[in-house]
Order: sequence, then C-alpha cells, then structure tokens
Amino acid sequence: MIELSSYRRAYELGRLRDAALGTAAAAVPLLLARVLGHPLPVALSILALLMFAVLRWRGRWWDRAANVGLAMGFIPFTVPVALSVLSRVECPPYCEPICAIAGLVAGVGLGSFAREGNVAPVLAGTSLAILMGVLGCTAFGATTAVGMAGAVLVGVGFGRLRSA
Amino acid sequence: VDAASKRQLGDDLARLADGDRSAIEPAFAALRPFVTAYCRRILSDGGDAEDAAHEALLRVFANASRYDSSRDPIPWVLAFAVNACRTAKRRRLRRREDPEVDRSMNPAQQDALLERELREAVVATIDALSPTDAEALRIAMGERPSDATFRKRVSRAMARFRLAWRHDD
Repeated sequence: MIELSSYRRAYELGRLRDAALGTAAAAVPLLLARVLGHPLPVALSILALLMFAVLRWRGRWWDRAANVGLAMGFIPFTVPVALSVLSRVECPPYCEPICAIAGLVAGVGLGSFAREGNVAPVLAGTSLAILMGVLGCTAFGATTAVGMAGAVLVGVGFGRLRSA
Repeated sequence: VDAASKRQLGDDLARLADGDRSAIEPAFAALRPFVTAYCRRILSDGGDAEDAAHEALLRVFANASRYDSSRDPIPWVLAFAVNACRTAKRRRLRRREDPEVDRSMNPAQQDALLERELREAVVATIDALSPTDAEALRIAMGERPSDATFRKRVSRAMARFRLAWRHDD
C-alpha cells in the first residue's frame, strides 16, 4: 500500500495546486479594491482566501459551498467598494442600508443552496459570504458590517423558506 | 477495455474530480493494469514500462481534479501514458541504451527514430479506441480507407440518396 500512498499524495497535491490557482483568481478583486483605495483589513482578507482555498481543496459539497459563498459574498463586497470608490467619500449616502440590502440579496442566493447542501458546508459557505461582505462593508463602521452579516443570515433563512 | 469497465472508470474519475477520496482505490485498481499493459506495448523493456506506467499514473492522479466527466476517460488517461512513454524513450535515447539506437547516430537521426516510435505509439493509441473513433481519426490524419472500400461506400450512399430523391418526388 506504500505505492498507493504516493498516488494519494499526487492527488492531494494536484487538488492543492488547483485550489491555489482558484484562490489566486479570487484574490484579484480584493487586490483591485485595495489598489483603488478601499481600506481592506489584511488579516480578514487572508482569512477569507485561506478559507476559500481549504474548501476548494476539500472538494464535493465543500467545494460547491466555496464557490457559492464566494459568488454571493461578492455582492456585499463589490457594491460598497464600488460606491465608496465612485463617490470618493468615506461613507457614501445610505451606505448602511445598501450594505444590508446587498447582504440580504446574498443571503437569499445562499438560501437556495442551503436547501440542497449538507449543514456543515452550507455554514462554511455562509461564513465565507459574510467574511467577503465584512471586507466590503467594514470600512463604513463595525455596525454596518454586523448589520450586513445579520442580513445575510436573514436572507439565508428567507431563501430556504422560499425554495422549500 | 469493455464498455462496462470504461463506464466504471469514467465514474471513478468523475468522483475523483469532485473530491471523493474513496474513489482513489477503485480508480487505481482499474487504471494500473490498463496503463501498465499499454506501456509494455510501447516500451519493450519491462523495467522501463513499469517506471513509465508509475509516472503516468502519478500524472493521472495529480490531474484527476481536472477530469471532465463528459469526456471519454480512455483517451484522457492514454494521453498521460503516451507522454510518460515518450519521456522514457527519450531518456533511453539519451543514455543510448535503446537496442535500436546505433551509437554512431547523429542527433537528427535520433530525432527521426523518436518520431517514428512516437508515430507507432499514436497508432497503438488509436487502435485502443472504438472502431468509429479510430476510423474518424485515421481519416482526419489523411489515412483514407482503401479506394475500393471508399468507392463501395460512396456507391451505397448514392443508391440511398437516389431512393430518397425518388420518394421526395
């Protein structure tokens, strides 16, 4: 079985390589936001990317949760980043409700995935989406970020009910 | 490789692509004899064939997460085996251990020999495909079926065309 272990290792390394490539692609919008002057907490950005990489490497439902979580998380990430970059003010008008609405939309999107997926991967996907949303909204204050996270959770519940 | 084994191998590779680790063992059990037998056909030396098969299988597993389940698993696997065999041949040429290599051969002659052996490997790969795929590839490579067969096929097709034409009238 020593021989089989070398194939196992090759398989895991291949998955790691693909997860790293996917993570590098996911890092591009974060870098772009930083270049455009949107303040992004470095530790949280690394945590989000690391989480995405681990979920991708794990595969199966975790992989799907990573993709859905990232895609939905980009909504509350991109909207406030675009707003602040375009308006060039620290907190553009209605930044709090905009973050909350973007979080709600992401949550509803995650809700339909939550219906099909197992609990643990769904939680991981939701956490990733919240983390991405926090990265976008945290510049407008901690309350805005917490409100957005709450809106994501409400959206997941609503999405689940709607697709049930 | 019969249709059922091929389907099973495709399923195992699709599970591996999805991240299902429990498919490693069945995929290995199905792939090992197939890839080893293929490498033995291409490389006459048993030791080299074992090494090339090991190398090919490592590449198959390293790339398993990229396998597209809508594709035929056999050509996908054979592509790694062909590459591993080519590398083994090249290594052997460099060591000048190949019985077919004359020590006085210059690099151009060695390249020509490698090219010929590669062509043989491609033909062996095509032979392992289904008859329809093999024929399509042979025609695409400019290897037409014999003129008599071709004329017969055209004549049969023309007969069917005439029949269809009269029915339309």
